[in-house]
Amino acid sequence: MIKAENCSLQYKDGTLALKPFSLDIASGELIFITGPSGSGKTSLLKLIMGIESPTDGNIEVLNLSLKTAREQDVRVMRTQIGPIFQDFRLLEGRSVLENVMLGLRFLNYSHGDMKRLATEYIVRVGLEHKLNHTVDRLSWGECQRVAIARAVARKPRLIVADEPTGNLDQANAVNVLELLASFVDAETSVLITTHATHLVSKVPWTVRLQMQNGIMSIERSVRP
Amino acid sequence: MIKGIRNFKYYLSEVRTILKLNGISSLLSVLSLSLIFFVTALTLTGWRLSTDFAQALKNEAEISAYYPADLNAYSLEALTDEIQDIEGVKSVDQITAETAYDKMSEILGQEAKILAQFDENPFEAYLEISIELSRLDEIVVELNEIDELDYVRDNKSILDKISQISGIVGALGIIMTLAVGISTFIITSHIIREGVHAHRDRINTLQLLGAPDGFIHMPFILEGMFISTLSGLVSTLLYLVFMSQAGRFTKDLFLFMPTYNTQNITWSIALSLCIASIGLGWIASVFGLRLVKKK
Repeated sequence: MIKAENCSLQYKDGTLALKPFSLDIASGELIFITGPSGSGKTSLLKLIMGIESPTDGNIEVLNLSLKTAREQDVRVMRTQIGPIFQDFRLLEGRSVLENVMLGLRFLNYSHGDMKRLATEYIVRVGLEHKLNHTVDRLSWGECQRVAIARAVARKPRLIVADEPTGNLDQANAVNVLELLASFVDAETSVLITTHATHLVSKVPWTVRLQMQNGIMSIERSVRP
Repeated sequence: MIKGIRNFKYYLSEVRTILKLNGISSLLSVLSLSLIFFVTALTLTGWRLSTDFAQALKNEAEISAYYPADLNAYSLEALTDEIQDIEGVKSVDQITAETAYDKMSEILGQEAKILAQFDENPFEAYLEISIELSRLDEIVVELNEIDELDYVRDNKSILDKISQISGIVGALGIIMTLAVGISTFIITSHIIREGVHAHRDRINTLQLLGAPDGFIHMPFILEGMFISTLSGLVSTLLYLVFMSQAGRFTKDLFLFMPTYNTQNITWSIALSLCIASIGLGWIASVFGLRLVKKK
């Protein structure tokens, strides 16, 4: 699913964000990327999402080599990823249903299928009673659940959640992590970045990428 | 294509959201574009009218040729035939002094009573020569060579002046059309760039979700087309109202002018305005997006 060989990332201003690393992550994994702010977590996500290209080495995501990939191929690759942003990036003024359907609009679903899938995942994140509410009127936690539903309703092969526990108390943070972990299956991996290392042990992760000053250390656990 | 149609409702609701968020800016853009389109429509109308007016006068171009009062009927017939044979002469009519008097009375209307002040008919008999204007110079030369003619009066200076004015208005029309095209282009492109900038997070989200460029860009293109088309419609409405009022006013003011159907001109310009506003909106929106994309 994600394969990197001697991959590094240096920004144009000369900052070496990621020192050379190699990585091999298969399907069905629950991956944590941990580390303090500025350690390289976001840079790694940028590489995985195809926002940045590796300076040296190569990284393959969903069988696409991002070193040489065309813009069109990156776009297609992204349709198989379900991103959950730290600030959610929901469409203001639109309902929960519309927001979740947005992630499905440019995939090959009919309107009926889009609505059915969106509703199914809204139910799964526990927001069925807010289906037609505009997202502006939702709480922080509810917005996060909408963002999760939008990402997973696409049935992606890789779910990428950037700091999903950032503004939550411990109980809610664990709930969110458990929810995300529930989407791991044989075809789907979930990748979560967090600086709250104490929360990692609360869910059965399989790979942990510990970042420190751009250096990655990999820890593997037994599959749950 | 099918996906595009399926998403059209979404695009329209996105346009509504974008317009709402850029409310004042969108409104001012519509107003300024409407005024630009309106002024252009007026200039184009002036151009078309003056060209048609000059053409109408050219079609009625006439030369008056005066002959000695004692010329007998036989010689007058021979003179008429001689002039008729000149290349470019369409027709030659003999106008008696009485007919000339009647014609002037008709032109003067209520003021014709001034003619009664004369003891004798002040007008002379003459030949009214209808010509092809393009051959005016040659015809005048040939007429001046005929001994039986005392005096040849052409209206060359007036006709030349009308052609000149028509040319100036025409050039002005072209300049205005170019100016409006460029202005619309710049304003619409700028609106699109502003819209893209204001919605960069949303665009970025869609990109990360793997949305194709067409899906992301379509609401912005539609926004540009909507603003430009709405401006076109507002200016067309203004223009039609203005022309109906102006038509009523000029009808009374310029009684002596040849009458022609201004309605055709008005409607063709109104239609062109609508089509141009849609086309310009689309081109400028695409251009605006390309600029942002390059950046």
